[in-house]
This record gives sequence, structure tokens and C-alpha cells, in this order.
Amino acid sequence: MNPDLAPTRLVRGLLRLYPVGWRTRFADEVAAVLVAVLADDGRRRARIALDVVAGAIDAHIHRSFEPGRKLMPDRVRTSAQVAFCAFALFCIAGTGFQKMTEDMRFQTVARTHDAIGWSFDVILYGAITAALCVVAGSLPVLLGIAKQALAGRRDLRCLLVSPPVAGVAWFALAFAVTRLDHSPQHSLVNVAAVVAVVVAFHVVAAVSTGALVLAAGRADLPAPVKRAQWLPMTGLSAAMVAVTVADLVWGLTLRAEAPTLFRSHNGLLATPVPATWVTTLALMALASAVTVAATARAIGVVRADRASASLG
Amino acid sequence: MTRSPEADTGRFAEPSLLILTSLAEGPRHGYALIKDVEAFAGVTLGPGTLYGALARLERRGLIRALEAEDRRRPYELTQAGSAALSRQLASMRAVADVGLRRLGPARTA
Repeated sequence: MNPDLAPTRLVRGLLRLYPVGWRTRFADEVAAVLVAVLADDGRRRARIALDVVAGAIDAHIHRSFEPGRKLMPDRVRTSAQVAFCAFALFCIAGTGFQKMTEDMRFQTVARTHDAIGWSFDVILYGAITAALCVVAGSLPVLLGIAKQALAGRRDLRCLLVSPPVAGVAWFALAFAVTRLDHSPQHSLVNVAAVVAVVVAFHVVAAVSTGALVLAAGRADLPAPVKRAQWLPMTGLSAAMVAVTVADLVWGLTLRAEAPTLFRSHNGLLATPVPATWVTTLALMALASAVTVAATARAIGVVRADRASASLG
Repeated sequence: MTRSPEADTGRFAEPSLLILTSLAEGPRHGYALIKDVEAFAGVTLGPGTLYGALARLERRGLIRALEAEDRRRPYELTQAGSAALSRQLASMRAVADVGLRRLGPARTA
């Protein structure tokens, strides 16, 4: 090291005011510049020190510029990936609810009791809205991934074909199970086959979600595509919260208006209805909470970046 | 940051623009940047201001850091930085042209 550039106590003290990440990257350089500048013009010592203090305050306020921190679009993308995973969990819970309520007894109750029918409609249209928001957010991402996959990114190609391949495999399994001899209905083979289909469904959902999230993380997507994710995420959050609240209202109303059906064993895999309802409700609430938190983070990151940009 | 009265062009004299302009001539480290900006713009960038701007420019991909030489790390313009500087200067020139035209030959002489 050039001994002329050795930092003095003042220089070391000033540099300690900066965030750790910033110091790791810039401390050596700034120390060298400070030493040289102070040697040049010792009379401006106070002004130079003030400038460095102001720089340290700025570095603490605008942490998004700190070296090593993810850039704003990447942080929004991470939030979108979290929301997408939460949506997959939400879909699994929703599928459970849908399978339970496709029974004619639930359909009849929904037609004869206004509150049950109304909450059921909110669940249906909320789910459609949530799905449309996911399509709106993921379509430009998928197009970006597909473009790069076609341009020669083998890793993205493999990740992109994983969901359809896993889906086809699941349909083949489900089709094979329907071809089994189903008598007697609750034989060990039948129960094992149904459990295998359900487990396989969850594995396919997890593999497909993981592959798409990984592909979105690896692809070099344009910054505006990543940044814009906060908008469909906001719609998705609102729709998921609406569906969760409607599911809560549906169960409570069913309990009050049709107690016999509520206490019956018409839940998934012939389990009690309350067990299926509480499980789907808990999963939906968890998924909604995660999505709302991810959306709030994404909006916060975008707003902080706008504020940083306007302050220079 | 201190400015000489001649160079005090308000928000156009922002440190990022001065740094990009300095780097347009070739890679420079921090102290050399301060001296060059002082020479061509009459503006003395403090080390805190300089590195605040350098951190932003680097994060935005407008400049890149080169290998450090004895604690002094040179920076160079990236292609994106070059394009951004061209756009900014062209826009400033357009404003300057309009301003000078409106002032008229007598008042600009």
C-alpha cells in the first residue's frame, strides 16, 4: 500500500458512519480519496468532513443503492415469486373446497339459502379474478422465459416443459385409477389408488410451481416486466382476501342454516365437513396473508425506488 | 458540493452528469474524477457526494468499476452510461439552444 494514502483517525472515524455493506465495497477507495483531498486543501477540512457525513446519511436513507443489495426490479420479482407460490397453495385449498361442494347437497343448500349462495358466488368470482390476475402477471414473464428458452437457454427449456410433463403424468395416473375395478368401493386397493392420485396431484403442483418460480428467477427479464408485477399482485391479494372471507362466511352460515349437512361426513375423502372446511380456510388464510405481505413489500420497494430517484 | 458561480447551472450540474462527462474521456479513479470535474466545470465534488453518485451510477449500470490499483479503483462508462450521457447532453443542448435563441443575439453577445 502507498504510505501516502494511509487513512488517518479522522478518515477512519468518518468511514465508520457508513453502512457495513457500503464500507465493504467503498471504504478503501474513499479513504484514499479523503486522504488525498485533505492533503490538497487542509483548510476545507470541516467542509469535506460535512460532505462525508451527508454522504453517510444518504447511504443509510437510500439503502437500495448499497452494493450487494438486490436491485428494485429483482426485489419486486422475488415478491411476485413468493405470491405465486402462495397462490399455488391457495389453489390446492380451493380445489379441496370445490371437490367438497360439488356434491349435490351443497349445491341445493346454496340455492335455497341466500347467505350460503351469496358467499359461494363470491368464492367463485373471487377465484376467477385471482386466476385472471395471475395470468396477467405471469403472461409477460412466461413469454420472456419462452423467448430465451427458444434462443438456446437449455435450463429454461427444461424448467418450462416440467409443468406440462408432470401434468400429463398425473392425468395418466388418474386415468389408470378410473380403469380399476371399484368393487367393493372402500377396498384397500381403491383407497390406496385415491390417496396416490391425491398425493401425486400435490407433487405435480409443487414441481410445476417450483419449476416456474425457478425459471422466472433465472431468466433475464426486462426491468419493466419485473417492476410491473406489483399491479396484478394487488388485484390477486384483494381477490384472495375476498375468497377467504367468503369461505369463512360460507362455513359459519352453513353451520347455522344447515347444521345436519355441516356435521355430516361429506368432506374430502368422507371426512367430517368441519375438518375439510377448517383446513381449506386455514390454508387460504395463510396463502392470502403471505400474498398480502409480498404485495405490500413489492409496493414499498417500488415507492422507495421512486422516492430515491426523485431525490437523485 | 461547492460550485463556482460560472458553473452553477442548477439541477443540470448534478454530480452524476459531471462524473459521466468526465468518464466519457476514459477510465478514472475517484481523486482523478474530482480533479477533472474541477478543471472542466469549476465544481469541487466532495468525497461523500462523489461516492454517493458513483454508487448510484454503478447500481444503474451506467458505469463499471475496474480492477483496483493500490486502493484506487478506476471507473469506466458502460454502453448504457454512454447512451444515457448522450441523451442527457442532447436534451441540455436543446434547452440551451432555445434559451439562447430567445435571448437573442444582442443579449448573448
